[in-house]
Amino acid sequence: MKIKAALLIFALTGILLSPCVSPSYSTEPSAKEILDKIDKLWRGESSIGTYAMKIKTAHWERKLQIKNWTKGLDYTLIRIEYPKKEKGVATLKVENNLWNYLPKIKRVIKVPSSLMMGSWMGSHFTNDDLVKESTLADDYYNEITFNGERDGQGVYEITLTPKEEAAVVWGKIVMLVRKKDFIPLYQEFFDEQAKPVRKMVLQDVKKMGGRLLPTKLTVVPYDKPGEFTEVIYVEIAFDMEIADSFFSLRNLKQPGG
Amino acid sequence: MPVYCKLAWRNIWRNKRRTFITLFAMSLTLTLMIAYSGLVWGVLNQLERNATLLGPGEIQLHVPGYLADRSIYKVINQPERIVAQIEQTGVNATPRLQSFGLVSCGENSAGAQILGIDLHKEKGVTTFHQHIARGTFLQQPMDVVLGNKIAVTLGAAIGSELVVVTQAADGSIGNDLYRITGILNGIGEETDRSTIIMSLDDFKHLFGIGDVATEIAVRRINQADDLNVLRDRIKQTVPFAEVKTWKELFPAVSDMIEIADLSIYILFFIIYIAASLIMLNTMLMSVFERIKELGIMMAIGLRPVNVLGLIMLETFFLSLCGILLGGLCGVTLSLYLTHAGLDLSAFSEGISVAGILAEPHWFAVTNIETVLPPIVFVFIVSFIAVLYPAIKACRLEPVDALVFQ
Amino acid sequence: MWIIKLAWRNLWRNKRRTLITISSICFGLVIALVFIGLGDGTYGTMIDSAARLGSGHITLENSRYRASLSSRYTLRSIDEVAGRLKGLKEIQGWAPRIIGQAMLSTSYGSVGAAFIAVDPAREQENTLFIKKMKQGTYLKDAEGRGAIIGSRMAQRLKVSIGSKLIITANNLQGEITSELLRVVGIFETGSDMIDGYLLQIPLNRARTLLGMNESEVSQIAVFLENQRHTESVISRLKRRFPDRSVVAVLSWREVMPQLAAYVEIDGMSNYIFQVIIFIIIASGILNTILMSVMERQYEFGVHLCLGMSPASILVLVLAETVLLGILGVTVGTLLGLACNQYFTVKGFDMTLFTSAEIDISGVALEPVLYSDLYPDHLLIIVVLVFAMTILSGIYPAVKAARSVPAEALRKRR
Repeated sequence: MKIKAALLIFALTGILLSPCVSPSYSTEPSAKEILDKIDKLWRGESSIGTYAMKIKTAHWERKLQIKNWTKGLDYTLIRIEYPKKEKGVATLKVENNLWNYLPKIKRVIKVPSSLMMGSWMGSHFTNDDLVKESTLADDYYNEITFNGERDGQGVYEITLTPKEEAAVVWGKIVMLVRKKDFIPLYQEFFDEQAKPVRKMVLQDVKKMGGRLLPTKLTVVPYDKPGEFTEVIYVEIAFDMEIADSFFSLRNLKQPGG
Repeated sequence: MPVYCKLAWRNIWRNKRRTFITLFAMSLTLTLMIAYSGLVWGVLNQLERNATLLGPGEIQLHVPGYLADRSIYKVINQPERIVAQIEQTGVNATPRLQSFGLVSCGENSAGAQILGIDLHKEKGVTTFHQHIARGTFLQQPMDVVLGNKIAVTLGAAIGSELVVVTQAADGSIGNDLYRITGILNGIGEETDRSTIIMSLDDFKHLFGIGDVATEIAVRRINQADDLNVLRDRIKQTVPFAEVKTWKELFPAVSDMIEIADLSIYILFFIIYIAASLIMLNTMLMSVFERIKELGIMMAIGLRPVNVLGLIMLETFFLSLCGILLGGLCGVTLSLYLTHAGLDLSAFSEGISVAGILAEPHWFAVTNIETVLPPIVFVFIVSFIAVLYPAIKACRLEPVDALVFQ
Repeated sequence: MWIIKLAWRNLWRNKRRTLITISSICFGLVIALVFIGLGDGTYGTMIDSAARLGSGHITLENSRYRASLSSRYTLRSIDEVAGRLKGLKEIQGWAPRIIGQAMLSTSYGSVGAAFIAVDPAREQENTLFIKKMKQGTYLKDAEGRGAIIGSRMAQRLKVSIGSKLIITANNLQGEITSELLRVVGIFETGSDMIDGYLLQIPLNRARTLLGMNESEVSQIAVFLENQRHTESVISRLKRRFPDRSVVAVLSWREVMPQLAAYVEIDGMSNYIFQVIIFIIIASGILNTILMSVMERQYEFGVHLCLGMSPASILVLVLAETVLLGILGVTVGTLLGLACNQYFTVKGFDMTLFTSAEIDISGVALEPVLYSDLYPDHLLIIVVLVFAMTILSGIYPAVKAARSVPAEALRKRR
């Protein structure tokens, strides 16, 4: 359950980091090159960020504030700061292991794979977002399927089709990337029958932590009208020194972080 | 007529040995039939009771649509009031809450079905509390009881703590620490593998919900009441709810019980055939053996009709004695099996058949339905059995009868 | 010899009685044979299909596995283990298996599942999954990404043949790993649990998923020619695997205690039924013979007067009983075997009575029951019925031998 959160944030971080590619191509880049740039940014970076998350479902609506530490792909620590009831709830991902910490009962739970169903706090992310180790370029064939102007700005539309053996659930992903700075604007996920399942919209491009980023991200499932999950950056800092030992079970339990 | 009665009665006791042999056959058959049918219906009732007593109850109420997705948002409001209303129709009822969560014990975790029950009222509907393999049933707040297979998966022991994490109704993380007080017997695949039981209050607290129930389970007070009639009556009392009997909820289980019923009828059929064969045999011989004697009677002027009547009367008295004797023995045996039961647990442990528990300790039932049919049957069969030899005997010419071989 | 001749003639002096007695012996035998045969057949089928579906008639596994059911405890070097199975002719085959818990996901959601990874080449041809295949085909070999899943699971995940399926599990190191699978077949056994919870995947895919090496498996399922040999093969196998702390040799009874209990308990109720039938029949035979003896007191009296010894009369009556028994048992066995043969070939069709498929402790019960009478059960029943007949003849025989000539003659009224 909470793993989802961990990986969700982790995935989000990756996506949010992606626009930091310097847009200095003399010729038109290939889809592969665009994704490579993104993939490079997904690795080797560290970040410390704070996000506000808003989730709306048919039954409730809630807001969370989350602090998130990442280092490369292997280390992630997430801690809820708000609301008070859940303050201190934390999730640690080290390589392929996941633990949750529940401050109310002061217990750490290791989460087995067979329990990753259901969504964390009802947000609209799939396991594919979460357990992902590899990158888009590893898992998908890519192709620029549109190159031109949409809504007044130059964009590339990249269509990602999964490789035969990639362990991903989607039938295809369509991504819209802004031409001038390679900032992704939009991602739509399809099932194998090419029916759209959900979309992710990236908005409010701002400079934050020294980089230009979309600071608002919304996930909308098509099969649940009216529901969405929205993530808004409060602050983020990149390339901070974080020791590997920071991502430890001991630290998971410490509220200070 | 009284003369014939007297004659018939005396005839019976004239050849005591033959009478005793016939009586022996009759009453032994009857004894076995009564005891067997008592045992068989007892086992079937047990199975049917377990199907309802160890889980669903006999009738369930939900909000329409709940059964499709078991959402914690499709709830019955003010369950206390509704339970009280339902109980007016002459049943026991209990509110329940059910949802899913992650449970963890030490290093191990598993997904589980969490059942919140009203400790007091639940006992009027189901018998979970009587099926504790180890430890005790829920006693104080924060106690939980586990299915036996999920207990193995979790490596859970009595007294160890159990973490339950779930998504509360407001979307937040519901989590708490519980104490494992008991582990259930094997009572059905689903429960064994995935269920943990806690009190209704603990459940409400964990999920952050108010005075609601996802389900109201009902059990008859009087087993003779017709379930469908009760269902309709409850439906009238609580018109907004979806009311279903366990047979509608679990058609596979009720089909299974029907198959069992059916195979029992086949077995009865065979036992009855065996029984009638023996009766026929005995009657045939006891009449044919007396053909010379009957011939003499006819020779001294008795009309064939009278002879037939005499034989019938004899049969009547004989079967009366047989039924008295056999009925007495049969009911005694059946009552013994009703109280002491037939304990096969030395040979086998409890098993689940189509998801319901079949216990290795069988108890019979003894009532008019198990006792009367065998008696009527023996009575009828003894008359049918005697008819053929009797007709044959009275049709013989006295002379032929005298030399009949 | 003359006694037997006399006995034979005596039997046919009262044809009706003899025929009735013989028919009741026959009846008892036929019922017993048909019931025991159907029982044996049903249990055999259940045990076989459960064994093929699950872990074989005999399971070899890491001795620490059973207590924790954790896929951490594997059986190493299967070739070496399998090598020790050689030379036991009762063993029909063996198959390596990897079993574990996993999560299956599609773009529409995830469900928990249990997987059995198999090497299709080593699997038995008549495994339940192949027989119950509703769509598509069975797995081709131990490689590849094929998966066969149950119909209920297919419904829940909204998948059909060819659809992608992501399986996620914890590997031996406890890390979370995923693999892509493609649905190649959908089976429907009728058991909700099997159809909604189980899937089969190729062996090597599971090794990749769990990070096992090429000679590692969860268990080796051993299939026998006939499940009746389970215990004897186990005792021999246990000698071949003396170190219990490494390899555990388990019978299907230990691996599937629920099924064992069912066979036990259903067999028990069958026995109770048989005993009742036998008692009824025995009392019938006793009756017939007793009556015929009583009826013939005069005749015995004459015999005694003519110098026949009481012992001879005892033997005579016993001989009659034995002849009756032989006749009854012969005819009964023939008839019983014929009925049995019918049910062996045609089966007893439960679908006549119900359309529902049932499962017992998760093992789907075939709707058509086939008879498969064990030869030793046949022998036991025949001997039992015969012995019962003779026993019922003893008391009347003694009674006849004790006839006092004068008294016996006087009885003739």
